[in-house]
Amino acid sequence: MNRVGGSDGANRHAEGDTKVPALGGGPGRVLVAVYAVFAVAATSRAAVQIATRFAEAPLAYLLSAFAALVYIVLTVALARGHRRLAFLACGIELAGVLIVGTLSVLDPEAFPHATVWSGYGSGYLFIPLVLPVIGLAWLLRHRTQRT
Amino acid sequence: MGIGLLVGLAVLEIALVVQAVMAFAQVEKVAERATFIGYLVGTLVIPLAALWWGKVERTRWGPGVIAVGAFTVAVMTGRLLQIWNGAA
Repeated sequence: MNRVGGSDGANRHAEGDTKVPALGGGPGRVLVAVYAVFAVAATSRAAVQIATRFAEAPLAYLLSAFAALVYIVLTVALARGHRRLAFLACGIELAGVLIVGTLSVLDPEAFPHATVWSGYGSGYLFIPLVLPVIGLAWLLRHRTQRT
Repeated sequence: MGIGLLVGLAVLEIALVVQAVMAFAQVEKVAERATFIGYLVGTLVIPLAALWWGKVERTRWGPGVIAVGAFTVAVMTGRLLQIWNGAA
């Protein structure tokens, strides 16, 4: 969001063009890989759900598709260094997994275990819950750097 | 990226190709065919994609990308087994 403000890293060059490492490099590269896996997995799953049995649970399947879209955006934004877009998508992802997770626990019938975010991502080793936190932490480390 | 990791990745890919060929040969036994084939293709593509994305990274995070890919293949192979047994 805002690039100014915050403290300049002590061991970091003051100039913006010496980004060490880039948003999609170092640990960020692993993050992009994980997001890519989730993007493909969520997209295929949503596509199969919507194509074969959309009428069964339209809300859940539309949410699946939305989650897939968020993962796609995040993969591209992180890989290409669009920090602001990645920040926004990460926030949506965290909100999504918390809201859908809570709703799916409170009202299981509305979410028949069919989205990535159901049960806080319990069907995916809770990775969907942990991922946005790690993502935001990684993005915050880039606060003072130009991307 | 070390030579050991590359050899390991090559062995994995060969094993996955063998698995995919054997599974394709009997794909009519499977009920959820589209999903099954999707997983098979996924397991073949992922190690190569991980290699492509990880090899430019000169730090220890490069092999980290390979690890993510390998873990994904493990999970997908588990799902393949579930689908296979579910149809048997």
